[in-house]
Amino acid sequence: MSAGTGRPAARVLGREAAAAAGAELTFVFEGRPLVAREGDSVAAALIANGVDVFGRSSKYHRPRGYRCGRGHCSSCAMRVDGLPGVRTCVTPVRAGMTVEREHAWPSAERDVLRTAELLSPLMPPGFYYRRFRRSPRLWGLFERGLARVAGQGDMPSPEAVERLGAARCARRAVDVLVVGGGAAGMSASLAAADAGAQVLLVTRGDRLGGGLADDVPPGPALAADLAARTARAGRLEVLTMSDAVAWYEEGTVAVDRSPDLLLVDPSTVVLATGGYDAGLPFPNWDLPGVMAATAARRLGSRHRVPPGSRAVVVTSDDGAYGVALQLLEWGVEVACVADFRESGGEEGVAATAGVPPHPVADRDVLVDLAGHGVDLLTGLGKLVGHGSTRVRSVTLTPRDLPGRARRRPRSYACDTICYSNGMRPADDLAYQALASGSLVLSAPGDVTTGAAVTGDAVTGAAVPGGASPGGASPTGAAREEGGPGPRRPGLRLAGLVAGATSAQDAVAQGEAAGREAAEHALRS
Amino acid sequence: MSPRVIPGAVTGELPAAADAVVIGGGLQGLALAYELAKCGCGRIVVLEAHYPGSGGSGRNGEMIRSAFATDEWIGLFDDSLRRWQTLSAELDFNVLFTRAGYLLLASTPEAFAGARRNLEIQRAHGLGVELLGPDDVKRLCPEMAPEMIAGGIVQHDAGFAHHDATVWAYARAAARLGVELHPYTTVTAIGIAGDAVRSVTTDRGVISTPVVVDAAGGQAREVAGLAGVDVPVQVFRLEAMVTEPLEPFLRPAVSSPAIMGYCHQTTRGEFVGGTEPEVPIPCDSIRSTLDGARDMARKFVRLFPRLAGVRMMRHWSGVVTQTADIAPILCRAPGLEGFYLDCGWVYGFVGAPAAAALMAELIVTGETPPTLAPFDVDRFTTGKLIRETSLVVAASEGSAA
Repeated sequence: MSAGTGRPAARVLGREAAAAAGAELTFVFEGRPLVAREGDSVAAALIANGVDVFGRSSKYHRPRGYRCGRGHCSSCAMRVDGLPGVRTCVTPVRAGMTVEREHAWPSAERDVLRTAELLSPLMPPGFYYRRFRRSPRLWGLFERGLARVAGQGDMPSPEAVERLGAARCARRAVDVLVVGGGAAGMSASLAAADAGAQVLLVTRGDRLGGGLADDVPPGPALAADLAARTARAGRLEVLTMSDAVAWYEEGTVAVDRSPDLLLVDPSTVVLATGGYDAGLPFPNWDLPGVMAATAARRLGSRHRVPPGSRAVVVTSDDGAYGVALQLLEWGVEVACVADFRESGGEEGVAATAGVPPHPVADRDVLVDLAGHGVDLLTGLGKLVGHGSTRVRSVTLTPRDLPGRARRRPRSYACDTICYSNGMRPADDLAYQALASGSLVLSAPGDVTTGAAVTGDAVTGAAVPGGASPGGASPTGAAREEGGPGPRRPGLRLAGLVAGATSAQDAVAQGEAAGREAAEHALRS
Repeated sequence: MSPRVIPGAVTGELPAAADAVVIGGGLQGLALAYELAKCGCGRIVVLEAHYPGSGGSGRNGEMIRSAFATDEWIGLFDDSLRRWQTLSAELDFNVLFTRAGYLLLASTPEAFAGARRNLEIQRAHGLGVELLGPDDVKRLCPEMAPEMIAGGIVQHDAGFAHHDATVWAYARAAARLGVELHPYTTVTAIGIAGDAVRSVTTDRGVISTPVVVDAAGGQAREVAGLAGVDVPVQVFRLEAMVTEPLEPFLRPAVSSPAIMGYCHQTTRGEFVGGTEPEVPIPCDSIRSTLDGARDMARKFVRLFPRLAGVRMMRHWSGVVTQTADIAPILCRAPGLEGFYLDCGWVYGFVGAPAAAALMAELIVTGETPPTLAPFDVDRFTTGKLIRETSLVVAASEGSAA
């Protein structure tokens, strides 16, 4: 599929789905009108219209597609209404919106600069430090050429600049600022408000719920219950489409509410920012159609757009099995779920009912998947994707196991590869708050963050710049090891960013963090 | 960062003795160590409290010019500019010096008149400069706001380079010549016998040495203090930012006294720049501020209106050590044999190649090269400050610029 209009809008069928889908609207993609549904992200709308290639990479102009689904990567960045670099996966589509791909000539579908990769033997990573070092003249010529192919979007259009002239910047103080609208963030907000603090919850998403809302049952029900309670609660305000992007020395948190900016001066901040998909590098891992399992889940669960027609799921954890079941539910054929983990050992489950020994303990899931004809592979060694503008197949090579017969590589035709390879905490704001030194978290699950832990081990909770309650804390406790700065709001972490591994953990951490944050805020 | 992956760093014990110890593994210290090694100075040790280039060397605006307004500045910095032209070949590593030209923008008729006056002295030094009228500037920078343009001076063979690459290049080149770079090593004392330095004490051991250079950047005053030497500098925070990559829209490096800012667009498309507050407040914090972010956003959008709506990708801070006349201190320390000062830098990135070579000459021969003479620390007691007027630096109270 190359052109953007060939495939009719594919939607997940079903009564519930039809009810959930919003009203139709029309937007303009590179001059062509396309139909979307209200509530779609731009990326979901494009996928529903059969668009695979979202852009081109900087150096080799390799095709790039929908990838993380959470606004964490730049793979889906496009020009939207004259603004460059807009992350289409977290931007709701609107009627009349104009969307264009960037950084390709003559088009993102057929980018002649793609041939740059033919020269790749001459351009290994960091090649420019070695080549041309002897000849300033040659470097000068090359540098001018490089500047032409590099870069991404063009500057904002004059119309966009004009529009931005109306953008507003507001400033307000709150007792507790909660960043993140997932289970931990909502729980923290509820607890803090309940303890008497004025609470502001900001979330990048266009609704509350976070990852939990798209999860397998009972996740969505739990998320909906928390969201309903959050909406009802007094002293608690929720701002969606509000991305906390920076935490400055003044103690102020900048919240991007494009095109507006909100500056928040909190007494205490609870970071419930979740995590980043760790990613999974393999040959051709950047092809359109290769996406985080959570990104596929968001497409299907939230936008009712199946990510493809035939998928292979590659994982190193249990979570992806739920995604595989969801894919089947949305009508996506699942060829194989390949697990990097071994089948054997005490943790493994013995072969029964046609399901081989497996690291996943939940037999029902495995039986269900096997019943749908899904191959279950364990002990995956490596994988290679194939395709030109979208993944077309994948070759999975099992590891050689001692004492077992050598297993042969398997190939599957597929247009989608969903990967799940763990999360790393989205703790950027915490580091910004501390600025120097290290962030040391001690939380259930023994999570430690920070490349250079220079101080003694931290076991208790501490609040930068504020009074330290000390003692063990059920929440991820952060403490600074840098020098003191000016006004420092308190800091609490909760949920995945603090090492929670389940919704129950996230809720418990959120509640504790919210209570502590309110206490700190009301005391200071 | 593990010492094993730091270019040019050694992992072993500190030596018991060295022929020279350079304190500070930034651009000044590494370049000086390289030049000393080139002179065959024997065993040279560089001590760095963090990782090489962790201070101002990796935080500056990367811009390179020699078109200043005084004989002293032009003398030193044009020597440096000439070295920049061939630095990649010299160090066997492409520092990505991009000769895109350097525009010193004049936004008012008065500033343009000043630029015209500076042109004479710049021409007298043989610099490749050209006076540009408003239309010339508009052609050179089509995205620049017309109301910001009264004219300017462009220096054609100037431009910018990659600051990290330059740090790595000097570190590797120095290592090839046998320089021992010890990262994560903090100097705690400087040993003195009579009126000469004898040793440097660190948290990892003591090195006896007859030559110590203070190239400690933001900590230069504290380091000199360990030797009882007063370095009259104040520390100021500067902030800078980089946007997401854009199609090429700006070729030369630009500095604008009207917005107290400087900027350029990298080959990759990122727009990089920094602005300074009108009245700087002494501060050694390297945290980033909301005020800084707003100042940069406001001023750069004023200069290039179509930057409105472009995302800042990163924003960071660093410190400069500013003297009363904003010129560096490059000399033998008064009254203490074997102790040298290479500090007080604001334009340290552009100045490093020449300063290092000339300081090495001073250390090796004992003679102060004429180009270096005006930068002696004694000028703050004799009152012979350098009256440079073309700097884009917010002057602290009572300073010359």
